[in-house]
Amino acid sequence: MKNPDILVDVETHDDAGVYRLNDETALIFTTDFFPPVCSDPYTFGEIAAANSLSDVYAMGGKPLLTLNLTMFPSDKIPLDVLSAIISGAQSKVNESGAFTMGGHTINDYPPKFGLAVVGTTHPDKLVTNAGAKAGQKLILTKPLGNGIILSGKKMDMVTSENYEAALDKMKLLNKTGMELMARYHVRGATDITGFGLLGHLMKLCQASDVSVQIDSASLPALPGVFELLESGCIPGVAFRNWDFVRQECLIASGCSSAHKMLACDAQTSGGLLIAVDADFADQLLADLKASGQHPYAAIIGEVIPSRNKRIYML
Amino acid sequence: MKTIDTRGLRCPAPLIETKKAIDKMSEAEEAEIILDNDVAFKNLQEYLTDLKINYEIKSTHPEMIIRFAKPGEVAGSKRPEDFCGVPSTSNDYVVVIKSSEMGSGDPELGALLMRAFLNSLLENTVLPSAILLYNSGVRLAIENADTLDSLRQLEEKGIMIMSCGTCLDFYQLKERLSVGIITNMYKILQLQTNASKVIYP
Repeated sequence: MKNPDILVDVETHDDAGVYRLNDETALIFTTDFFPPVCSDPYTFGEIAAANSLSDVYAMGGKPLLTLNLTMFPSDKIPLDVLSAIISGAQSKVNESGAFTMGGHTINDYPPKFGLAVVGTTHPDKLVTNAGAKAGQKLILTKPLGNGIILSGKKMDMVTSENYEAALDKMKLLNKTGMELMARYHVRGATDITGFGLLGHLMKLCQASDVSVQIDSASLPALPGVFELLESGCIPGVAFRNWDFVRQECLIASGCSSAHKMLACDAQTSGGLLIAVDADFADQLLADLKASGQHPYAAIIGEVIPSRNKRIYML
Repeated sequence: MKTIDTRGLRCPAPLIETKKAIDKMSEAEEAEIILDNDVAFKNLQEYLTDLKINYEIKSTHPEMIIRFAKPGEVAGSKRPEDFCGVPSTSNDYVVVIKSSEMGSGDPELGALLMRAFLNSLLENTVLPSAILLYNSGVRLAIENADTLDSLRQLEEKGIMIMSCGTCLDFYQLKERLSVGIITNMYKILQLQTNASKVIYP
């Protein structure tokens, strides 16, 4: 039998585990780490930290404590690289208001880095991927396509300007997004990471037992992404993500393959996908834009009652 | 015959090389893509399907070889802003159902004809890309309708079933919609504009 204080576990494939300490406080517990996504170590540290902290924000929580999880080959790479990664991460932990409590490093190649994070929220204000309801609008806070940009960068097909724009979005904490969605009593949200928009939408639909309809023309994309898709620069993982969701999707014939693959693109430190009551959607969107941090935020579709398919994309 | 040798390349490079070659090819020109890894082989087939390019697998061992001819129009080769609502190819059509009955006359006969129409549509070799339901046509998609099963099967085949939201509101049926999605006048108009043919049963 499940402990009644375990509010969220692996069952609903949510962003983090949640445990109720008492009537006032629930602990949100999560970790994520990965190999470098860019060549600059400080930036990598920032992105890895933003990505790990995001799971707490996606549950409506505030990060409290973090640990650095580090795999680093001390005999192959100078130690100042490690120090830059950790400094980058620390800058984001500071920005979140959490405290670094230490961590652990082992010798390994290639390097990997990420955080374990503990956050807190009020148990009644918990946001899960099981909290979406038919009639709500879906808001995405960051543009899609950072997996495509990273892949294109390796092929030397991305301008430095577009590359920097993608890194900037990956570094951006989902802190403001979380604070703003809390204003409108949001209970259903998730963050977009490795499974891409469609993968995370599918999990949200299954956990909430709803379907969604997505307007592909409204999907926000990083600058340069459509040109890359047009050139065939579609990362292999996007095809894997498509295989994972295809049985649950109905894509309109007028919807381009570029939009489909954009929606399957694996994101590193992606945005929040928020299910908000229709009456508040425009206001939340306006607040996100007014914050200056989310100029790409968009209403991308709506939640509908559970149907044959989980995702309908027009 | 053009040869696109992607041996030694990993995704997405084989796709990029293929797309580069396609852009340079003339219509009906043939090409062979040579691949040496399974993931690229699988992804490239998905990619060609998305581009609406028919292909043939000439070999799977020791190397994989895919042959195709460049069609007149390659899907997706548009400016980004045109990506959606791409004008349709010649056999693309939509079915617009304006009423729960087919034809005007005896209502019982009209309902029977509509059921027969949807069942026949299921058997049709060329399926529509979408079925639009408006006015009393939306009644065909609500719970317990005797047309629901046919519409669900059509949806299973990849057809988007779209009901008019204003109509569902008017008949107070929104909560009972049981197949497909709700759409608005803008989409209804756009879909009919983009379709090369519209069929009204």
